[in-house]
Amino acid sequence: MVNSSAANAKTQPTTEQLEYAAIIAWGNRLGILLLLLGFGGMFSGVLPGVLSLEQLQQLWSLPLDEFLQRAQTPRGWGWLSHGEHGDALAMAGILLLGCVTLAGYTLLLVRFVQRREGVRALMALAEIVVTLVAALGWTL
Amino acid sequence: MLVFLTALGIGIFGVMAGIGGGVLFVPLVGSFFPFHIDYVRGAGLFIALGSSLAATPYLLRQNLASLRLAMPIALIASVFSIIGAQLGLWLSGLNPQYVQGALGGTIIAIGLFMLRAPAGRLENVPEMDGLARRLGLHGTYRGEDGNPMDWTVFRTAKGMLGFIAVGLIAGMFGLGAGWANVPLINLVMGVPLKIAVATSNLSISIASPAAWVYLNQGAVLPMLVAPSMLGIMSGSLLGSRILPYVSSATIRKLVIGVLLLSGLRSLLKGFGW
Repeated sequence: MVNSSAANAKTQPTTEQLEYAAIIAWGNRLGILLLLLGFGGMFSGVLPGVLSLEQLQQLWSLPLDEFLQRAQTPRGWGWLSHGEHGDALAMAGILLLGCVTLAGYTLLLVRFVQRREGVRALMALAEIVVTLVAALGWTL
Repeated sequence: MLVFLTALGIGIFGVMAGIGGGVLFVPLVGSFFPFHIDYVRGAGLFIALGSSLAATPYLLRQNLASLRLAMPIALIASVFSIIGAQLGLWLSGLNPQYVQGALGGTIIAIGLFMLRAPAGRLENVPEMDGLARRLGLHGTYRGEDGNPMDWTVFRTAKGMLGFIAVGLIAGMFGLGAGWANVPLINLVMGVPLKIAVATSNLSISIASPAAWVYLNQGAVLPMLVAPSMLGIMSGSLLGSRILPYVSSATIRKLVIGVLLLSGLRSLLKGFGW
């Protein structure tokens, strides 16, 4: 009986795994909601776009440099300053989905440091740094 | 709307064939739609991220995905996917046909690999190696019969080296990495298939930096990513409902056929045909 309950306990997820799952679940829901609102709003014509669907169709086969020059759309985080537009709202959802892991890993880092699990804390810190470098556009 | 419907179909068939949507989305949409290949690759990375994020909470709560195992895999994949993404955007800047052709060749290779790859099996892991012990790569899951089953890892270094190549390819072409992660974790590192599939999904959800590279370069179009992500997610839900009623082996062969065809089309586009 003791062995059986001990074996069952081993199949249960760890506390940090459950906490991480909760952060991902909430971030994911919010991100999808923003995607839906932005896409639905612009597709139905309720929300304007930074770039209208007609303009987008004329430009989407162009190489990146030419597209950016003609479309004058923002890059990365710059989209957030156009929040009243449908495509910017969808982009906010995309940005949020990209950040969800960062939030989860920050919690993991705290937990690993509290438990003095050095190797895992270092791995969590390294992942946070790599993701932040990419998210802030500090790559080459 | 056509992108949404295509993504819906990819989601349905991707789930039934047991592969992620990204690996089908990029060659299909890149070959048969008018979008420049850079925007398709940017969308492909966010599709892979979105689909894996959606499945992650359930897999973690069921203790099928191992956070301990996913952390080193994701870290290696993250670093090398950034390099792959930079390389891909640089190549595309020289001539987009280089990327299109290389993507075609890679997709054909993936299709042939999937055709020849042995079915997943539970490796008889002789003993946990030193690196796996140091990283604590072991766990327990509930087997098919409901009994707890221990798992551990061997050939850890060899497996981790493989994730360097996977990260580079995934970042360069905007593909998800499930097609390569699962055989590496299962066949090379000896992790049971169930845990390998779930942990691969978790590591894809963590290894998002390549997507940020495309986003910060301006190669992510929200009105392409939004319908694609929503389509793939809805398709995956539908596909998982249909799955019990269809032969997944037949669907897998069909999907491999589509992969080979779209890879060939992409390769031909790369040569300007």
